[in-house]
Amino acid sequence: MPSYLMPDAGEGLIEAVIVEWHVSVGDRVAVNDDLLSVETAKSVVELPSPFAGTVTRILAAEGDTVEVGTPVVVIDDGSEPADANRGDERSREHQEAAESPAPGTPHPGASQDDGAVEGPAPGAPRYASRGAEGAAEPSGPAAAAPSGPASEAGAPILVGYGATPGRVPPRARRRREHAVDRRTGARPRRDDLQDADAVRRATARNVTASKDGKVHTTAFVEVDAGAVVDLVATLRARRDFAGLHVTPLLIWCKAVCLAMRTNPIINASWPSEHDRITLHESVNIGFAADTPHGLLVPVIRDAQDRDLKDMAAELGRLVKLAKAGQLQPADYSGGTFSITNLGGLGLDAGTPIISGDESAILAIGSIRRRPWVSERDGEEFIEPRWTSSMSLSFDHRLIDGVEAARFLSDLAALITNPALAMMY
Amino acid sequence: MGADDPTRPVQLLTPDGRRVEDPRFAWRGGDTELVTMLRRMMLGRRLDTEGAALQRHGELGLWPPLRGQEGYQAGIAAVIEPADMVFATYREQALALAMGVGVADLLALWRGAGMSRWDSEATRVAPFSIIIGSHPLHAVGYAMGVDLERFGDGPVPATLALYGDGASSQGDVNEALVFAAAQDAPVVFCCVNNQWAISEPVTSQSRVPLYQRAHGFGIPGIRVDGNDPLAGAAVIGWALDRARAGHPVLVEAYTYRMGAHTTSDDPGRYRGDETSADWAAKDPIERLRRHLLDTGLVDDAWLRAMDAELDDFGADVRRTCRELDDTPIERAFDELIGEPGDYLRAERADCLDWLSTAPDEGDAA
Amino acid sequence: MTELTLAKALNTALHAAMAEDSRVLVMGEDVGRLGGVFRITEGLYDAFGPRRVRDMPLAESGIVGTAVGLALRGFRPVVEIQFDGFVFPAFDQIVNQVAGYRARTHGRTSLPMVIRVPFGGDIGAVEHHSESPEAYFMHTPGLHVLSCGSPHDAHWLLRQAIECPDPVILFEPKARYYVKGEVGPAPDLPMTAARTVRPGRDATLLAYGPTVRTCLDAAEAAAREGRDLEVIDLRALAPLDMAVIRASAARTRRVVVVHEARRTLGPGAEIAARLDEEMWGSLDAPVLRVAAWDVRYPPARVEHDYLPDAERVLDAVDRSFAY
Repeated sequence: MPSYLMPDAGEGLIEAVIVEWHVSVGDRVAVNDDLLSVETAKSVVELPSPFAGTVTRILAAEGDTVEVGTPVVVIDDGSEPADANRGDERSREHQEAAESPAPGTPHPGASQDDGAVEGPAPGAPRYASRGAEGAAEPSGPAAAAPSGPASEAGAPILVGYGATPGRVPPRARRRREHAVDRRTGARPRRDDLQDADAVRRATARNVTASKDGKVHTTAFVEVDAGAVVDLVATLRARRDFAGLHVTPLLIWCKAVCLAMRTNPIINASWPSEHDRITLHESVNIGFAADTPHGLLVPVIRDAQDRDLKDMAAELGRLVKLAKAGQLQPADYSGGTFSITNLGGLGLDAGTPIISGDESAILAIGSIRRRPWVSERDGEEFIEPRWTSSMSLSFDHRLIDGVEAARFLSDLAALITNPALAMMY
Repeated sequence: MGADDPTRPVQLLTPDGRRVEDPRFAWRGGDTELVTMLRRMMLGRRLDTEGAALQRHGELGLWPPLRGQEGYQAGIAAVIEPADMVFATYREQALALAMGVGVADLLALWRGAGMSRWDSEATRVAPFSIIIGSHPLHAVGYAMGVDLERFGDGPVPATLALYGDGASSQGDVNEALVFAAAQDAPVVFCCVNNQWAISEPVTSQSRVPLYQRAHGFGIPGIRVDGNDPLAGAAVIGWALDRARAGHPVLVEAYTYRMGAHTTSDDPGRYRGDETSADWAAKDPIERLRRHLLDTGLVDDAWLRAMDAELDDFGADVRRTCRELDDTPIERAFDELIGEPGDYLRAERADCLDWLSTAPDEGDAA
Repeated sequence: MTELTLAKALNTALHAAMAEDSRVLVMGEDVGRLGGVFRITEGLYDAFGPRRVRDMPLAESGIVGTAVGLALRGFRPVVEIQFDGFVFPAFDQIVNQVAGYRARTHGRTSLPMVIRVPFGGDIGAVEHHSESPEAYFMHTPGLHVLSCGSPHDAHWLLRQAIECPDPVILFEPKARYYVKGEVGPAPDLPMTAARTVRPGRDATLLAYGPTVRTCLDAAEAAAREGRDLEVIDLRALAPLDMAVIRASAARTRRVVVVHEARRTLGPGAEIAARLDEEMWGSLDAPVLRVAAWDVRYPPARVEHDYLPDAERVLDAVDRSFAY
C-alpha cells in the first residue's frame, strides 16, 4: 500500500507547511487528483496524487511543517507492499518507512515541536542512496543511530548552516585501506643522467646516418646448420688447422664469398650523392667483435681470394688484435659487407643496421638444437637438428627483394650442404 | 490591435475556430494535417500535464510547463522537413515530441536521469540549451555550414532557432542575428514571445515589438499568432522556404505562457489572473477542436477515442518516468572527451573504487 | 627541416590543414584580407577564398558560437581570438557550450574545433592585450588546452589540434611569434605529451609558451654556476603530462614552475598540488612558482617588473636549494 511523500516542489526546498487537505480518510482518489495544498518557501502549490485508490491514513495535519521526503498520506491502491507503481529502490524505502510504525504511533518523520527530526529523511531523492550498497540507512526506528550525535547532544549540530541529520556520516561508513608512500622506504628511484661520451656519440651519428640514408629492409631464413657443426668439428681435428680460428663464423665467411660471386649487387656501395653504384671486386668482410674496448668491427680483406686455412688464420689474427686493443686502421677500414654473430648473445634473429657505405649485413642467429622437419624415403618426421637463422638487412634502394632472396637462398644452400661449394 | 495595426499578428484561425484569410499567408495543408495538428497539440498538452504532476509526485526535479504554447509548435511540426535542423528551447517539448524525441529522453533531463539523451542527427532536434539564448548562435553556424555545402542554386535544408522574449535581450541572440544577416545564413529565427521571462514582462525586455527588431539587423521580421497552428504553419513554412532559398528571417510567435516558468515558480507573486483569463480564451487546442468539429473533420467519437489514447499516453508517461535508469557517474567521465589523459582516468578509478566500497562497522563495533 | 618563424609555422600549418581537408575553416576578426593582426592567416584568403576564410562580425561569443554550429554540421572550424583579453566575451560559449557538448549529448556529439589565442605579454601592448588566461580553461572539463613554445611545436600542435575530434584551445606566445626555428617534417610527439627540451640533473623547470625560452636562458646561466637544470616544455596544460613531470621530479627532486599567468590558482598551483599528492615527501624542496604577481597587468613600460624573467627563475632555484 503506497504512501505519498512530501515532494520538493521547488529545487532544493527542505520542508513545506500543509495549508489544506482536499481529501479525508475513506475518500477515493484518481491519479493526479489534488490531495492537498502546501506552502513552501517559494509558493503555494497543489499536490496531485500519484495513485488511484482509497485514502487510508493521513499522517500530518493542516498547519504542520513537514520535511521533504516524509510520508503524508497512505493510499490503498489495492497493491501489495511491493507495488509495481513504486518499484524503484528509493520508493521501496519510502514505503517501508511508512509501514514500519505501529498504528497510532507518530511517524518518526512527522514534524516535532522543536523542529528537530529523528532519523534521516529517507524519501528525499537528493539524499537517497545511489545503489544497494550505498550509504543510505535503513529507515526503521532502529536506524536512528546515524543522527545520533545530534540527538544525543540534544541540539542540532552545524547550527546556522542547515543541519541535515541524514547527511552526518554514520559510524558504519565506507572505509578504504590507504597504502601511501612514506618518505622512508618508498622514495621513487632517482634516474641517473649519463654523459654521452665520444664513442657513444659517434655510434649514434653513424647508425642514424645509415638509417637516414638507406632504406633498410630485413629478410630472414632458417637453416639446418648440422653440416656446419660437423665441418667445424672435422676441421678442428685436422693437424693443418691446429691452432687456427675455426668457428661457424669462418664457414659463413667462406660461404658468403662464394654466394657473392653470383650475387655481386650484395657487395656494392651507393653513396646517395653519387649517381653510380660501385660493385666491389674485393669482398672485405667486417665482423662484429665484442671486446673489452667496446664493439669493434675488424675487416677480413680480400676474403674472396682466401682459402679456408688462410681465412682462419686472418680471422684469428684479427680477433687477437681486437681483444688486445691493437687493431690498426687498415684492420677495420674498407669493409664492403658485414657479418654479426648473434649466437654469442643468445639471440635467434635481428634487424642489424648496415654500416658505412656497405649495402648489406648478415646476422647469424644462435646455433641450437631445435625440432626440424626432415624427409627420408618420402617420409616426413620431426627430429632434433642443429639449426640457425640468417637475417639479412639490405639497402632496398639498390638491392631488390628478389636479389636479396637469391643471395640468402644460395647462402642457405651452402650452409645446409657445404659440399655444394664444389660447384664454385 | 485593429485590423490595420501593423503589429497585429498573422492569424488564419480565430480563437472561436473560424478560418480567416490573410493577404500574404495561406494554410496549404490538407484535412489530414489539420487533424494531425490537433492530435499533436493534445499529446503535447498531456505530456505537459503529466510532467508537471510528476514533479509534484516527487519523480521529476523540475518541469517547464508549455501549456498555451502548443499552437506554433504544432504549426512548425507540420512544415518542418526531414533534412531541416531545429535548435529549440526546453519549452518546445510538444514540438520535440512531434519530431520523434522520445518521452523517456525528454523526462530524463528533468528527472536528473540524463542529459539531452536523444539522437540529434536522427530527430533533427539539437540538445536543449539551459543557458538562455546560447543556442541561436549554434543554429547560425549550422546554417552557415549548410550554406557551405551548397551546390548550385537549389534549395538547402533550413535551420530553425527558437528562443524566448527574455532571450531576445541576450548578447548571443543579438550576435546570432548580426551574424546571420551579415553571412546571409539560411536560418529562421523564431522568437517565441510568451510575454514573460519568469517574472519579467516582455516590456522589461523591449520598447518595440520584437519582430520589428529584425529590420535593424537587416532581415525581414513578421509577427504570427503563436496560438494559431494554421498561421504558425503558414508563416514558419514561408520562413523556412525563404531559408531554404538561402536567406535568414525572423518570426515572432506571439503567445502566452499559461503556466509557471517552471514548477519552482509561483506566477501568483507577479501577475494577476485577468490577462491569463484573456489568453485562456485564445487557447490553441480549443480553437482547432472547434473548427474541426464545425467542419466535421472530427466528431465526438473521435474525441472520445482521443481521450482514451491520451489516458493511455499519460499512464505511459508516468510509467516511463518511474522506469528511467539513472546515468551512472562513470559515464560523466567516459562521455567527457575522447582522450581524457591519465590523471582523469585515475580519478575515475578512484571514484568507482570509492563508490564500490561497502560501509563497514569501523570503530562502532 | 625548414627554418620558420613561429608565426609562419602556424601559417603553414593552416595552409596545409586547409589544403588537406576541405572541411577545415578559418574564422575570426580580420583573418581574411588582412591575414590576421599577427598575419597568422596570411595568404589563406587568396588560397581558399572567403567562404573558408571568414571575416566575422566583431563578437567573440558569436564567432565561437557559430563555430559550434559549423562543427555540428561536420566542419572543422579554426577560430582566431584576436588577443587574449578578447576571449572573455566568449566565455559562456567556450565553458558551457564548446566544452560541454560531448557530455550534454552523452558522448554522441563531439566538437572538432580549435580556438587559437595569442597570449602573454612582453610586447609593450595596451591593457587587455597581454593576458594569460589559460588557467580558466584548464579548470573546465572537456577541453584540450595547449601552448606552443617553438616553431616546430607551433606547426605540429596546430595540425594535431585540427585533427583532434574534441575542442582544443591553443595558446600562442605572441612575444615569440617572430623567433625562428627548425620545423621538422612530422610530429615527433603526441599532442598531449610534454617535451624535455634540456635534460638536467639538479632541478626541474616546468614552463610552456613564452617561458620555455626564459627557462632555457636561466638554465644556461645556472650551468655556469655549476647547476644542471632540466627544462620541460609542458605543451599540454589540459590534460597535463604528469608522467613526464613526475619522472623528472623524481630524478631532480626540485621543481620550479614558471608561467606568465598569475600565481594564484595558476597552472603552477595545480602542478604543485598534484606533486604534493602524488610524491609527498619525495622532493627535497617544495614546488615553487615563478609567476606574474597577483595584480592587474601593469602599464607596458614596467611589464618587465611583472613578468617572470630568467633571474627570477634562478632566484627560485636558489630558494629551492636553500631547503
